[in-house]
Amino acid sequence: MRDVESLKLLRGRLEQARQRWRWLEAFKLFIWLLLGMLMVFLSLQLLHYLVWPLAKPLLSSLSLLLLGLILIILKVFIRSPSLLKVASLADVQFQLYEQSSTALELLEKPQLTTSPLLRQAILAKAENLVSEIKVAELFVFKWPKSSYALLVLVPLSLLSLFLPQAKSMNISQASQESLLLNEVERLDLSQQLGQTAELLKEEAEASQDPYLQALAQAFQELGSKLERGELSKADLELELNRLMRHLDKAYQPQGQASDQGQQAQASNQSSAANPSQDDEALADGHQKSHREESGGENRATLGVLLEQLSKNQQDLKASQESREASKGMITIDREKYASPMTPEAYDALKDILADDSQKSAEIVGAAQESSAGEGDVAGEGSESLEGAASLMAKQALAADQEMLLPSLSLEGGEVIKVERPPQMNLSQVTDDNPLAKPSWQGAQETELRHDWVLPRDRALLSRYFTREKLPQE
Amino acid sequence: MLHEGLGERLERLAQVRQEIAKVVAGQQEAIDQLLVSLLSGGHVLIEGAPGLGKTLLVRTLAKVCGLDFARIQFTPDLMPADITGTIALMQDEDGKTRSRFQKGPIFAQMVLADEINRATPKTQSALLEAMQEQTVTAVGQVMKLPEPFFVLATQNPIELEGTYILPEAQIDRFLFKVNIAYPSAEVLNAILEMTTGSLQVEPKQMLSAEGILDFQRLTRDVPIASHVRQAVVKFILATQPESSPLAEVKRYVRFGISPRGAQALILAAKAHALLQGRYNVSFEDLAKTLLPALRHRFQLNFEGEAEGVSAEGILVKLFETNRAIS
Repeated sequence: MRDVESLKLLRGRLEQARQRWRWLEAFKLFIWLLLGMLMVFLSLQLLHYLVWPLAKPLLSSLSLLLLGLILIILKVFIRSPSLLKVASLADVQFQLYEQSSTALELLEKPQLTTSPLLRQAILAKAENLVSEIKVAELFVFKWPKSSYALLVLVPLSLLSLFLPQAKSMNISQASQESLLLNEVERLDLSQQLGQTAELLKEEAEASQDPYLQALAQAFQELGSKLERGELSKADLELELNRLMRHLDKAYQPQGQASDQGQQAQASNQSSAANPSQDDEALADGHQKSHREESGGENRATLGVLLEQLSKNQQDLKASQESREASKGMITIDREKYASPMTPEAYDALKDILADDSQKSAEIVGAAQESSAGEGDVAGEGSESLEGAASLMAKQALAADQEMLLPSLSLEGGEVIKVERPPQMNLSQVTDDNPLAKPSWQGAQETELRHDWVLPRDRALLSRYFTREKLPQE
Repeated sequence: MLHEGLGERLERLAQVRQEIAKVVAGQQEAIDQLLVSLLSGGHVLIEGAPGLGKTLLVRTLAKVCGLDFARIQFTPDLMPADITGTIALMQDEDGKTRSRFQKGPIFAQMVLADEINRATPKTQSALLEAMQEQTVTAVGQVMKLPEPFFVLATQNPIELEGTYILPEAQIDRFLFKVNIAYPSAEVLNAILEMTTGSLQVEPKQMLSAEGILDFQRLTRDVPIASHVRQAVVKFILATQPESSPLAEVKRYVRFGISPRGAQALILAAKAHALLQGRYNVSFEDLAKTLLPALRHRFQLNFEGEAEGVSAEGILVKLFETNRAIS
């Protein structure tokens, strides 16, 4: 019975001491953890600011802190000293001559001695030892020296939270923003487009102008697509740009159009053909004057809307430029995927695509009217499509499809870019065309893909025809 | 004494120390070491210059402990039979002459083998065999030596000419090797005062043979905590040149401490704890008994001897290192 009491007393005191050790150890480890966490946080902040936008530094560091806390708790409980170890530490600290550790062991292992006299004497002494073991003196609390580093790291970390956002971060955010429109922007713009379409429709009905009808329909469709969220900013900008050019042409004074000569006239006619998908109705140049004469009250409203749309278009262009700038950050990727189509060429091509739609429209118009030689306006090295153009027209080209774009001088020879409806192959064009020159008969369809081109842009660049051998003219 | 409590017994031990100290001045450490050997049941090799009171110390101890005492002066012509005994023709009560075994001085409870290194190895072996087996074989009979049997051998470290140095295997059989140090001025003054006057102090008997045997049993019952024993194991292994982490041991030590040495250390520490009034072995007990128990079992190699390396220094260093680790 006395053994049990002695055991309780001694074990209780030693358990208290162990508990204190755990707290002190946990505190010490926590300070180190805090130091490590702050250093990681600052490093991540620095990397984030200078090099590359990584995962969120604060979140990463807090995760690290949480993980560290769990590990500390596990370590403190799993690796805490045994009671025997605590007792032997107490023996050293209070000069107990291994009496407490021996007593504890004797209580747990009675076979340590066969002498009942010695056993009783040791246990009797163990009770006295309890009062000699002072827990606070056994494990003295000392403020860890490592904590002084916190005085520097904590203010630094707090300051880093108020740093201006990194350049890379700004660009990244801008890039993200440029790709998608927010809800308010989307609805607002689609509403504007719908209103514009309504006004154009009224005006088209009043003037019986199919060109304006086609434009109204195109605006209406654009608004619907935008409302459904099917367009990115870049796509919207391209489409809006195109429609606005057509709108400019629709309201261009007749005299100015006449001054530009026959070619310009053909161009206007073909431009009108695109939005309306009605080639035959667009050939009539008289309707322009009719548009000039028509107007009315709707005109003023339309002017305001167009002004707003024009402003939106500028905003979109600005965001597109920002996105292009962010793409410029990925210099390494461009080099990695270097191909005959260089980034500069790509940019040049994009500019041409955006600004030269008029030329392509001319080709369509010219092709419709002429049988041979009229389409050779695409640039040096291109071949006349001759009868192919009319054949393409028969294949029900989409209204917004650009037919032929200028060739580009690229490494490895001339490349002629032809865009055509998705269902059509070049072989269909050339094989069925009796007027096509023999050198084109063997032309192969080659699809080029550039990984550095964004997926949505690939559609514009996807179809190329290369001549294996330049024809000897 | 057997019916005394533990406290009284330890008190009696303290009185034994005081009683011896009354006669032998300034040799408290040597007295403690002899008592530890006595309680452990081991034999002692005493080394010291002539005239330092070795014989007086042993004689006083025997008297205080109430043990039969015999002194054998070892000389080169001493024969084994001179120690163990021999067949002698003796007349019985009827006047007839008969051969009878005459017991030698070894049959005393406490034997002082004075200048053991002066006898031939053959004679030394006879004594050492009796120490180990605690029996003597003569004329085909095995005779048990009395209990407790306690041999104290002395040797003079300065007169080595014409001596036979004890081999390591035989030295290992001594529990302790006690070095009697030259007394300080203060002690010397006390010795002169005590021994040159007309008043001679006679020590009282404080123990008996049974009491000593009881103490020897109690000593073996003293518990030692497992971490302390583990520290001893580590320390003993660290004295081996093959497994020692200390470069000095690898370089200078010929052979380390044997398991018998480890037994001696722990047993001596237990006795020392009792002598200090404690019931368990502490590191302090081990430290106090370290050198007397192990100094004669730890041999340096030629390089160590040549460079004057201190074997005791290495032992202490090893022990402190292991103690700190544990």
